[in-house]
Amino acid sequence: MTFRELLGNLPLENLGDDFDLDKSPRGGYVGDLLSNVMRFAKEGNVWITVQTHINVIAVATLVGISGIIFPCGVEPPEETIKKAREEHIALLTTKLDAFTLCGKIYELGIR
Amino acid sequence: MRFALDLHIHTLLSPCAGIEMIPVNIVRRVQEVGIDIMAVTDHNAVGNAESVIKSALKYAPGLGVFPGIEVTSKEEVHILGILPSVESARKLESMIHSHLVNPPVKDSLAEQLIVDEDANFIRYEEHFLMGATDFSVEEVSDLIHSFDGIVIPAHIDRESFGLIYNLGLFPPDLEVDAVEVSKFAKESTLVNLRRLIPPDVPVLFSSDAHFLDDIVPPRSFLELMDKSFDSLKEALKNYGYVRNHKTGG
Ligand SMILES: [Zn+2]
Ligand SMILES: [Zn+2]
Repeated sequence: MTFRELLGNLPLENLGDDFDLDKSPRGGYVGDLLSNVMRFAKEGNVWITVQTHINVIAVATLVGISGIIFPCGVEPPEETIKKAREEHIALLTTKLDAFTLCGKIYELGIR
Repeated sequence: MRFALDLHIHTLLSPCAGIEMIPVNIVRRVQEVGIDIMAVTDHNAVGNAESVIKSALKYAPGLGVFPGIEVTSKEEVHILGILPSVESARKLESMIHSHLVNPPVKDSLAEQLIVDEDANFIRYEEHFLMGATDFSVEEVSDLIHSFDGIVIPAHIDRESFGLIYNLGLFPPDLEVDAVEVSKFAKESTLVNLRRLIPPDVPVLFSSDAHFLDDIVPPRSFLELMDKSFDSLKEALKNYGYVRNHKTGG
């Protein structure tokens, strides 16, 4: 299941026109404390977080995160989106809360 | 001259601080343990700073007291701002208050006491101080600097509300005058943290006292011309080092 397919199946919104949505995340991780994410998230994961600081992209790059979904309607600042473009990390947002979002993408086969 | 510092002390205005943290108790204890310069740093508020300054004049003459604030950023990182005057601290506070995003929770305001230098009740602080602002860490830093304040990310060695714990790495565009580690930080922790922060940033030890017993003999010393704010700012900028009693500097 690619990010594009996730977009087709769930109420998600793409935060940039030029993100590569044809990647398929392998499993996922939820966390807002970046030191925790650095320790426990795995390469290829989709990452669900309400943290929008630009360091999110630095951490995602270190870990090898394939894309980030911001729940609860959270939208990151422009500088974070810009950095994500440079690092080729897809950013999506949704009105769903983190728990519901995780349940739905798990059901769709990302695990 | 060599002065001992503790730039992170709460009063009873902070909901999580003890009721004994009235100005006179604080200044007497601070002087007793050998601190020369302290800062009053309540969560997102400066309401008791002036009372502590006045109380020091009365009950602990010679003690240097600066107004300050411990701001909660939107990433839930705690950042200290030490200000040159009560007036600038109040102006900064009003900006912070208009950017607090959490409404008061039940009964919380009764724990936010503003008192005078003799601990007479003045009023309750009506903003909910345990909430976060919607300012990013960089915005908090810029705001404090716009009032000529000193910016110090608090307890960066700790897991709760610490810069490194919450943001993983030292943010590349964050401008700080020093970083703070807790008074009990081990040498091994300091070695690790040193690698995570810009090389020229001084590391200060503070008590982050919420209760009288938290106020302990100082671990940070700076060579300053005098106890003025400008001397402190100069020293942090130019000398960029802090002696700690263990390494002897
Ligand atoms: Zn704190
Ligand atoms: Zn504190």
